[in-house]
Amino acid sequence: MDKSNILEIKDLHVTFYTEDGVVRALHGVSYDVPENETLGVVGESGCGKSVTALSVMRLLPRPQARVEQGEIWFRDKDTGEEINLLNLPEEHMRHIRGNKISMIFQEPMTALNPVYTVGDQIEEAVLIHNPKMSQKEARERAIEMLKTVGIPAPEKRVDDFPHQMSGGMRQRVMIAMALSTNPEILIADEPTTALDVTIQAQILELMNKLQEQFGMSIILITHNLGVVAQNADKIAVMYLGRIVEKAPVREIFHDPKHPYTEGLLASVPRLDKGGLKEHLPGISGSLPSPYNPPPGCKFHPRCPYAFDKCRVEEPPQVEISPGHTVCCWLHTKEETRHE
Amino acid sequence: MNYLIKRILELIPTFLIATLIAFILFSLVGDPFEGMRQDPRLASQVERLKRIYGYDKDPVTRYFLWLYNFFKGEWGYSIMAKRPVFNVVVERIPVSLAMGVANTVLSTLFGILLGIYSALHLYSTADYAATALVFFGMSMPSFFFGVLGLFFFVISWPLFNVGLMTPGFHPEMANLLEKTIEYGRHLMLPILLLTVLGMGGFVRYARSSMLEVLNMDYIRTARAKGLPENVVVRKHALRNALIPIVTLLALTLPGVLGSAPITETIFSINGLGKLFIDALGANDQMTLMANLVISIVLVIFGNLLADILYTVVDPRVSLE
Repeated sequence: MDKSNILEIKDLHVTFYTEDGVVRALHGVSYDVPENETLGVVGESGCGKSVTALSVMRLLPRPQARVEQGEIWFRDKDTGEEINLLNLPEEHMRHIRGNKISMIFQEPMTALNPVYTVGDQIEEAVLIHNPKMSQKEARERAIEMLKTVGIPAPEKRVDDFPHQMSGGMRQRVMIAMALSTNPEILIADEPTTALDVTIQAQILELMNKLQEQFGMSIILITHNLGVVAQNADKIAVMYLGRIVEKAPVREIFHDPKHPYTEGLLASVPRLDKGGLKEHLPGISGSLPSPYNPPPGCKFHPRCPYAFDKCRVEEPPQVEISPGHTVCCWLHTKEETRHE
Repeated sequence: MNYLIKRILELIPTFLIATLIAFILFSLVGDPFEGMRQDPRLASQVERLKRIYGYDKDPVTRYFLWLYNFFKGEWGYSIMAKRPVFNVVVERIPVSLAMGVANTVLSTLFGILLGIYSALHLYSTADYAATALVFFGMSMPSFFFGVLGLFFFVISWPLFNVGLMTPGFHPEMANLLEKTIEYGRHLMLPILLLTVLGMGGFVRYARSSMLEVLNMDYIRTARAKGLPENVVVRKHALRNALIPIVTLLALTLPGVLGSAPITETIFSINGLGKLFIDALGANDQMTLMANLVISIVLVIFGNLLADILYTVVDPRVSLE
């Protein structure tokens, strides 16, 4: 593992065996999460963003999903050990899940158990990872965390049931719960997608503030480029179970290399170029069926630059500048392109 | 609280309407006392009985007369037993209650346990076996299943006693233990058969409820916290899965008394169910009414109980 990384995913392959057929959900996904930084994972629905995150948590749906190949290395800051999470026995994984790596989800309305108070649910997370703590201390911790995430009158709201709170408040509770154990990584799977735009901004700002305060890494999964532009340090763009481009956030936005990234960026309305009057170009075609992906580069049926080689052979990953990699025949060396 | 009071007050019109409908339906069948004229010893009584029970007046007046008498504890005269209905009905309650309680407790308990086990072991052999049992229980008619039970476990292979109570057994002289044993030996087979037939619905309900809950986002949240799987299931899934089942439980309340007229008849058990069937054959309207009122009251209170229990188990629902 690189010293500056807290998590490294290496060549991860995940396959779903469903009644309708076999889906190769992840096909050689690799990315690194640097310490105390935010990695944005971007892509359309079904591209494997969440599957990668659930693989890290070891929460893939069983028995359908199977990890066929790959490693997920995690550095435990307390012991300095480097652990391959995929080889960890389940009991050991439970000490990591929710303790060192926490996760929050897209739907705050349904992510909390309706029959327990939010306090109960936070205390439960605290107690399971701190068995020596008393009920009273756990409750104090829950109130403190609610205060940290900006819930007014936390000593009262701690006894609220989830249905007594708004969507934004519930997502704050989810964050409070996730951070109550001081995790080293927070995986946020579309944390603001279900929220109003104003609440979205508040939640993202809160996550940024807490990242500084708690000193943790964030994996921010989203399909919203605006969200990652403001919050991520590095970005990984995914398409059909593969990472097509990885780069620092500035480079992605100013110098995208992969035609898919280019297309995604072109479809974001921009106030500085033409504003709202301009026609927004989309990416032509639609996402191919995951049961029957196209041969060669998975993006070629929708790619405006596709040539013969793209239709038969998958492009390798090439580093075009430090920290910026791309999988595209356009950016491989001239001689390999036409061999 | 106001809602609760309103809800309780609503029981009164429900009771009146249900009993009125039952009463009118029986009135359509015809005057029950006319049949007594054929018996020379009773013929002289007919006019007097008709007058007492309002059969010389219109059905609506008769209904209110019946209602008034009913609350006084005078439930009418049983043509079949030639005794007051109240005594006839009350005598039949213990045996029906014993059978009904045992059957309800067993079928709900095993039904829910099996349903949840099925959901947690989806598509396992046990799950398929449970599904087969559900289909069997839900599609097998009790009149046929009862006769099969009699044939196999009483005649071919005499495991159980059935029919009338053992000769020489005097319930009024026996102590509670002796009574329990006596009842048990005679009621075991019908209770088992009714349990198999009755648990099907609960297995299906509990299984689908549990499956639905296991796919909820908050179960994923519970797992993501690092809780062990048994805590996820017991604390987070079970509690939610039981919410709809608890209400279903309250609705089984009418089943504890006389829910099995056919089975009681097949096994010659003198309970409320058999009383109902016999009274039906004899056009014994007063007995039928009393029997129906018991069911009506239990259904009404079962529904009220379901509403109240719902607010107890689900914090999202309140009585306000």
